[in-house]
Parts: sequence; C-alpha cells; structure tokens
Amino acid sequence: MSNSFKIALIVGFAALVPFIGGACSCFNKLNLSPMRGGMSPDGTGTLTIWMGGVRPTVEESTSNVLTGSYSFLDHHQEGASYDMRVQIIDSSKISVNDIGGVGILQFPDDITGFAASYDNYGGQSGPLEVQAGLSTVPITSNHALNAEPGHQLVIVRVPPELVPGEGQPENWFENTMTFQINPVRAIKIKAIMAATVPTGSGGYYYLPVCPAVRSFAEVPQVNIPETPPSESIPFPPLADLPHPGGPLVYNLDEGTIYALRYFPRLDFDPTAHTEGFGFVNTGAEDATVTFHAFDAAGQSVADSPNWNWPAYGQGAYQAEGLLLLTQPAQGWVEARSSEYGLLGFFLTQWFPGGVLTGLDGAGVFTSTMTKGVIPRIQMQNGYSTEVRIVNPSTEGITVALQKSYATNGSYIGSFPVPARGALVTDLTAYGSFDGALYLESGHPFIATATIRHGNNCVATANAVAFGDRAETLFASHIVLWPGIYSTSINLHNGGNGSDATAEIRPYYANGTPMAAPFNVTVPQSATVTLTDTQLGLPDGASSEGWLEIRSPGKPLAGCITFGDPARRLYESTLPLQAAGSKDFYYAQVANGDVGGVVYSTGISVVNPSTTTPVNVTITVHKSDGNVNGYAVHRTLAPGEKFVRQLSTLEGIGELENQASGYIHVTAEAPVLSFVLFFDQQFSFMSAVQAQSK
Amino acid sequence: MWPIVGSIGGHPVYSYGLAVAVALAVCLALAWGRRRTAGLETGDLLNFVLLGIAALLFAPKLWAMFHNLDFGAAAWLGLLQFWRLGELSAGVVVAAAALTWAVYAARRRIPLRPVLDAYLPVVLAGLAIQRGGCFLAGCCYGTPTAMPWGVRFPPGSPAGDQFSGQALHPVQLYYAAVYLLIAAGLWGLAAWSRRSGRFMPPGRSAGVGLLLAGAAHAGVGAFRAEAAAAPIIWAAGLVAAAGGAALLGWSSRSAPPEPAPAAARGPAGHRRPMGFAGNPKRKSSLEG
Repeated sequence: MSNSFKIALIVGFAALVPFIGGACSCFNKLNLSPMRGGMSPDGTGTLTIWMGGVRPTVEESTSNVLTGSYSFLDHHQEGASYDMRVQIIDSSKISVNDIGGVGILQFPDDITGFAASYDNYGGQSGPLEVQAGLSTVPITSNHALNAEPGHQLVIVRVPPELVPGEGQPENWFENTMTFQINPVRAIKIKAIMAATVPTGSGGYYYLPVCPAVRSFAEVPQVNIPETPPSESIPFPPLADLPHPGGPLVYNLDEGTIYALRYFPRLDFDPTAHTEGFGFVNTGAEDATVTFHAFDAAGQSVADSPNWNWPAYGQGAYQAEGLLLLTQPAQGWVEARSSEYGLLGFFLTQWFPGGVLTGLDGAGVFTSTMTKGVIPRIQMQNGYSTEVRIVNPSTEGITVALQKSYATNGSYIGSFPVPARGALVTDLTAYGSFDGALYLESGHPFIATATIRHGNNCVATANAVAFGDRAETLFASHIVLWPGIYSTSINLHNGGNGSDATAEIRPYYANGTPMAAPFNVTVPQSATVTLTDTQLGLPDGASSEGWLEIRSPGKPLAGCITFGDPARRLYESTLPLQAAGSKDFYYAQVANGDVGGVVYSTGISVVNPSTTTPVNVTITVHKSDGNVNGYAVHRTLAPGEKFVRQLSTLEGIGELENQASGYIHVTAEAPVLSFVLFFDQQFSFMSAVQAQSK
Repeated sequence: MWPIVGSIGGHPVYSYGLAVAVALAVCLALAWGRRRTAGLETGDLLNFVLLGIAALLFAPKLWAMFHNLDFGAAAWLGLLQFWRLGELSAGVVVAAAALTWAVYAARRRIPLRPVLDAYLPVVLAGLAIQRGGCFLAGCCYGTPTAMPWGVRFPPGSPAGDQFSGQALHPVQLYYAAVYLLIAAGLWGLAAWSRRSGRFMPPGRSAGVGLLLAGAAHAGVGAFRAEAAAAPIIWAAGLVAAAGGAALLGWSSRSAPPEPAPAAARGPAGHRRPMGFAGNPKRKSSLEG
C-alpha cells in the first residue's frame, strides 16, 4: 500500500467522521433511558427510547407448563428492578422460543400515522411492525386488556430475530416511534410490556409482564410534552408500578389468570395438630381464592371450593375447614387468587389430647427460591425440628442440604423432591445439631421448619432466600425477663467465603445505647446463636429494647426467637428484618375474650433513623375491613421503639374483642415493626410476620 | 452547546465529529514534524494512524460480537458498515489501538519508548481537541455546580436533557485544559533536555506524561455526572497511571537514548528477512 493511498484513506475518514460522529461514548449510554419525545410544530410526534430485549429465564418447561422469570431494569434507577415470575399453562406445547415480546401503548384515539423503527448503531436497523387503532387485545380467552375511554391501543412488535437466545445478554436498540397529532398538544400515554403466545389460530394472547396488570387503569401515565422532541421524559419509578406480589399464572387452557401463594405446611390430625391459613386482601376488588393441597408424593389431596375474600377484608380459617378435610392429611397447599393483593400467614397449632399447648405463625410464600437458609434448626436439649421442603413445580427436583452449626457447616446430601411434592424430614438421621440449614437446588423450592420442645411449645421458621441476606439486620424487639421471657438470635454466615464479623448494637426503647457496640465472629458456613446477655441485655434485670446488627461486606441471614427459658411453655420465631418499610400489614390479630380464651396482641414499631423523627399510623381492622377503635397516630423520635399491647395504645378507644382481623402500619419513612399475639396465661405465643404489598 | 454545525446535502455535520477530524489533522501535522525524533518512517507513521482509525471503526463492533456471542450475518455485515460507528467505548478503542500499535511495533522492531516520548504530547493535544467536541455536543458532562464557571447546556444535548437548566462543571474543558497543560509540559521538558544536553532515558518523558494524564483523567472523572461510568473512568485513569509508572521504572533501567536510524529497518510495509533484523545491542537497550 503506497503512502499516497494511506493518506487518501486518512483524509477520507477525516471527511466522513463529521457526519457520523454525533458524540462520544456517553452519548449512546445516556440514551438508554429516559425516553425522549415531543411534538414538532408540523404535527409529527416522536418517542424514542433505548431498550434491551432479553428472553425470560426458564425455570420449568413441561408438556403444558412453562415457568419463567423476567427482570426489568431501568438504568436510571440503580439497583431497581421489576421482577416477575410468570407461569403459562397451555396444553398446546410451547417453548420459550414461541414467546415473543411486544410493547402495548395507550394513546389518545385521535392520533394517527404510527410508525416505528429500531437501530443499534452497530449495523442492525429497520422498521418495527405497528398495529394501531385497537380497542382491546386478548390476554386469555376470558380476559382482555382494554383501552380506556377515548384511547386506542398501539402494539409495537419486536422482531424475533432481535431477541437474543435464552441466557444471552440483552440486545440493545434505540426504538423510535412517530405519529401524527392534530392539534399539536401535550399528551399522556401508558405502556405495558407483554409476552405474546400464539393462539393456534393465527392470533396471539398478550400476557402483561411489566407491569403485570389486567387493566390500563392501574398503569402510571407518562407525559409527552408539546415541546419539540428533545425533552427528557422520566419513567415512573419501578417501585411505583403495580405488582401482583408473587407468581402469576396465565392459564390459557382455562382462560384464567391468578396469583399464587404457597403455604409450605399442611399437617392435619384432628386429635393433635393442624394449620390455620389467613389472608388479608389489600386490594379494592373482592378476591376469589381456591386452595389446592398436595401430599409429600405430589398427589392431589384436596381442592377447595371457591372462597371469597372481600376487598380490604381479612379471614383466617383452619385448613381442614377451607379444604373440607375429614381425614388426616399431610403436605402443602397452593392458593390461587383471582386478585393480586393478598398477604397471608399460616399458623401451626399443637393440641395433643385436645388441649392447645403451642402455636406459631409464619408468612405465606409469595415467591420461590433456588438457594435459601432455614435460620433456625434446634435438635438438642429436648428439641426436635421437622423440615419441610416443597417443590411447587411440575417436575421433580433435587435439593442439596448442608447443616450449619456454631463453628462450621457440613454437607448432608442431595435429596429428591417429587413434582408437586415435599421432602419431610426430622434430620435425626444426619446427626443432632443446633443451628441452621442451607438448601440449594437448580430449581425453585420453598421450605419451612417446625421446631418443638416436646408438646410444650412450637415455633415456625421459614427459609430465607439467599438473595435476601443483608449486611444490616434489625430486631425491632428484644426483651429479657429473667427466668420468664428470653430472646435469642441466630446469625448464619453462608456464601461469603470467610468468617464474618457482626457488630451488635443494642438500644433501649428510647433510642439510647443499651451497651457499647460489640463484635461477634460468625465463622464461615456457621450459625451463631446469641441469647439475652450475649445480645447486650443487662444481666439479672428486666429490660427491653431493639437491636441492629451490622456485617459490612458479609451479608447474613438470621432469625429471632422469643421464648420461655424455664418452662418452655411458649416460643415464637420470626426472621430478622433487613430493611424498614413505610407500609406494613399483619394478616392476623386476636384481642380480648373470644370463646373463653383471652387474647392479647402486642405491636412494636421502631424508627431506625438516627436523625429524623417519623410519623406513624397504626390501625386495627376487623375481619370485614372496618377499623376497630380509632387509628393511632404517633411521632417516633430518632431511634425510638414504640411497643404496646393493642388495648393500651393511646387514643385507640374501646376495642371490640376479635379473634381475627389485621393490623395496618403506615409511616412517612421506613420503620421496623413486628407483632406477637398470645393468651393471658402465656400458654402460647405467636409471631405474625410483617408483610408489605 | 452546538452539537450540529450545519448540514451538507441534507446530512447533519456534527461538531463532535468535526472536532475529531480536526484533532486527527492536527495530530497528523504534529506527528509528521516529529517523525524523525520518534525514529519513524513516513509509512510507519501513516500505518500507526490507520491502525488507530481501524480500532475506532471496528473494535467496538468486534467487542460487541464477542460480548454478545453474536456472530450472525447481520453482525458481520455491521462490521463492514464503516459509516456506522458502534457504541463507542474509549476503553475498547484505546486498548485495541494500543494492542495493534504494540504488535505492529514489535513486528517492525520499532522501539516503542522513543515513539511514546515523541507522540504522547501529540495524542494529548488531539484528545484536548476531541474534548472540545464533547463540550460542543454536550456529552461527557459534569455534575451540577454553583461555581461561576458552571455551564448550562441546551435541551437536546445529553447534558441538557439530564440537567435541564442547571449549571454543570464543564469537565470537557477541564479535560482539555489538563491534557494541553501536560502536553505543553512534556514539550517543554523535551526542549529543555535538548538545549541542556541532559538527555533522558527513553520512556521517561512518556512515563511522566502517562502518569500525569492517568491521574488527571481519574481526578477530573470525579466531576463527571454519569455515576455508572465513574468506575470505568477511574479504572482507565489508574491503568494509564500505572502504565506510566511502569514506563518510568523501565526507563530508569535504561541508558540515555541511542537514536535509531530509521533507514536501518527497511521500508514500511515490507517485512525484512529475519537475518537482516539483527542489531542485538540496540534491541537489548531499547526493547529491554
């Protein structure tokens, strides 16, 4: 190559680059989001957004069931994602490659001339197929997504070849839509990302996945200004998008849509023990709920009739009543709800000989996990633990178990769990230990442990998903009444590859330190149990407060147990909280004399901020959703813990006796909270796990 | 500020692209005058420039193909569409350019350190001009500031869209200023060295320059607004600074330069017979 030719090439490039070099690297990255758009004076509207197409992660694929998970990220909301697990039931065999992706946008119905294109500025560009002027699209054969009055739906279809294969990283494109608007004005649009499944007759079902809604009325609006198309248009925060709160099933065979909730334990023996199941419906629509019980082998045990959970109502019932059981039954239960906003709990009750000796509750699972830890296993000094690992999918799985004790962890083995079945074991065959149990599978599961001290007391500890471990954990209530009431905490250090140093910070209820912060080493793979004075509670004196645990760089999982150290008459376990919330529900409340049993419910709310007071509102609701007494408003000083029995809440007024209902806590800033209910004789005590929508 | 300076035949002319073209022209002119100092032939110099352009045109797309494991026809076709730039990543382009230059220099047995000593100020001057293009395009912008020299970018530019109406640190100009300062310092150092007769070991000037430029890149990066880009900016700066430090260490083990007669290597583009390559002494002293 001659030097003249080289110079010609260089000059050619220098002449070309002013036409192709819009800006340097950050230009493209910035345009991933937010949207840009607006109106030109000539009546052309424009909407531009960078999006990355990706296939769902397949968790289960059988002849008629496909379960996958989506995770939508907004690069302008660091750390935020909209995670959705969707199950598609369709007897005409579908694979993940049959599933397409579309954007369904809602525009005012007078807008015309829609066109769309894509370009990755890397050689891939072209037009996108657009269907406009639609008033409805089918979700299933019985459900449709309808345009709101005065609006039309516009479908923008992503060409299949642009969507990367399963497990491949997303494929980013700048998508541009143009349209004609007359008169030129600002407009409001809405958008849903949907999966498409062929109907078999040439059409498609459109299954909303982000946000997973059935009506555009639930979708936040996006404003497109009247100004020329250069404005930055922010997306609604992902946290503000409506979410069903758990897995969603699109049953295309039946034409139904329902949300799933999992009760990991059903152990009904009319002479000895049972479970109670409760839900609070936080939504504005009545929900129809069915319960489906399976035994350990995965065989169907019972299917309930339709039960109605009224809007904002609560109901808690014995499992045998819901499932119309007349014979003893063991296994687990899947609940299917027509509405999304159901939060629930289950209550294990022990009554050998007909006398209630113990009960404890835990939250209903709204999601599955592939790695998790049951943070409390107790097998020594008169205790026994039954572990129940449930496989809610339609294919058998294998779960590996590792026991975790004070100094280390050790592998137990891998165990099959049948499709729709459960592994139930008391672990005694693998050596007695106290600590925790680590579980791992390549497939989704849920798990719980029932811990008993003979027939004296029972406690329930649900598995914590490994992803929910945290570097800061809170216990919103710790208490020591020497010889009567004791607090212990389990801290599990799994997955960190080295020992963790946990800093324990105990506080009195007024926010002042109970003791100087101190460090506790949690060895790798081990579970450390700290009790009473080891938590900083003063020795030999009655005291109470709250606790913060910091483990920088080494996320931990843990639980707290309240109990009767001498007589073991009552005990209750619940998970440590990793973060506060501004909106809590407790799906069960019992207070006053009901049927000869005098119940009490205690609530604790902590403001973990060290600088800012927070206003909190507590309302106690009856089963029908009506408020019992009055709403209680309280300002919590920084670090303050507010703990009361319901009947002693200042300003709550007279409370009607209730054996069911729910408590709702709202706050202007995140707070920590938990609830216990017990009988007057302390013959039992149960935690009710805080749940957020 | 002024992202599009006009249009030719209906095609917009981007100020950023124009700045890149000007930077290229200035670099070429400066490099042309210093090619003998660097010990380069004209053909070698042009090849270095072409390799840099090739890195700019192809490296981002090749990187995307491997990153996405996408080797389909469309990706290959996109590779050939030189009129479309891939998603520009300075790190990928600089790494690819450095790699191709190093390979080329090794094959041609061109001593790298004199080349770096001669051309690092030239490259820094080019980068300063390119950053002027960033300023005009409103990309690579800074965080909001109340300082009197804060700049408000118009809507339609990345900075204006992100921080509508807010005054921002003009980090593009900070970059340009520090690059020009370092380039001027290196030129001054070279002039002083020549005038005083105190020749520096090969690589020392470039080592100092790279160390300062890397530190400055990371330092100015602290004022960049794009949080997501910050780790990459800092990492790139630190890698450059580490490279400069390594170069300094390397130069400290070398004797002052032994000017390399360019003609001894044969015309660029022609591979010399292996037997003709031998000048073990020089190879030892310059290539370490």
